[in-house]
Amino acid sequence: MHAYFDAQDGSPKVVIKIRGTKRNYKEVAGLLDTGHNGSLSLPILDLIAIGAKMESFGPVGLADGSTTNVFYFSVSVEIDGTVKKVQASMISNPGIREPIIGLELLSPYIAYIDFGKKRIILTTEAELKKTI
Amino acid sequence: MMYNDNMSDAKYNLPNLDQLSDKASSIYMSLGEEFISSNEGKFIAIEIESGDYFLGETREEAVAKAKQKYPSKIIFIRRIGVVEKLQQHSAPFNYSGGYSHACVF
Repeated sequence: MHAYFDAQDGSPKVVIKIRGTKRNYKEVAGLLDTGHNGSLSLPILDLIAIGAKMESFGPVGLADGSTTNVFYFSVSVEIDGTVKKVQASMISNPGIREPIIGLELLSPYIAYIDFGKKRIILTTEAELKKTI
Repeated sequence: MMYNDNMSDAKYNLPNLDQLSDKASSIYMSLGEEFISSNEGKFIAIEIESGDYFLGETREEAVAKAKQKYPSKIIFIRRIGVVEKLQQHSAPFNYSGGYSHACVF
């Protein structure tokens, strides 16, 4: 899995491939948000581009303590050759054009993020045991 | 803030979420405290018109069960007992400090 610190905004990014009802996958770099308990949030433009189908909606809590409802779309995500089908929430603010990757999506990976050295390592428990 | 009203549901021909959510929440609350406490942490998918509900360990599992029976319906989904948190861009990652952070997902 390709992960890196974005030199422009200094934030950790993870590269994933997403697919909706269209045949081809789209590669996107999403912000890794450790405060995001869901799987994935996608800008509306990405959802349109991949032809994602809306399937559900529900309440989510925001950082300011408020609650709002969001739409969820069925999206296939390819990470390291493995495809995961997730309910991705729609980012309704058109000003935000970057996917947001939550904790659920990366399970069972382990992330080591060094904010000082701007380094991010995503690995599995098995890989980690090999190096210890 | 992530979710604001600068993109109305009507503009994009989306269902009115507030109305749907009110109906779904009343169905959810009618299940009772005992149901909620005994299933806390699981996901519940509710088909609003019929009131049918489906449980799953994940959001995807609960929605898949509901869509199997109601393929053309928009399903209400939530985690039982808690509201999931989407932090989404609220905390910029411009960390200047030299600390590191490890996460097990």
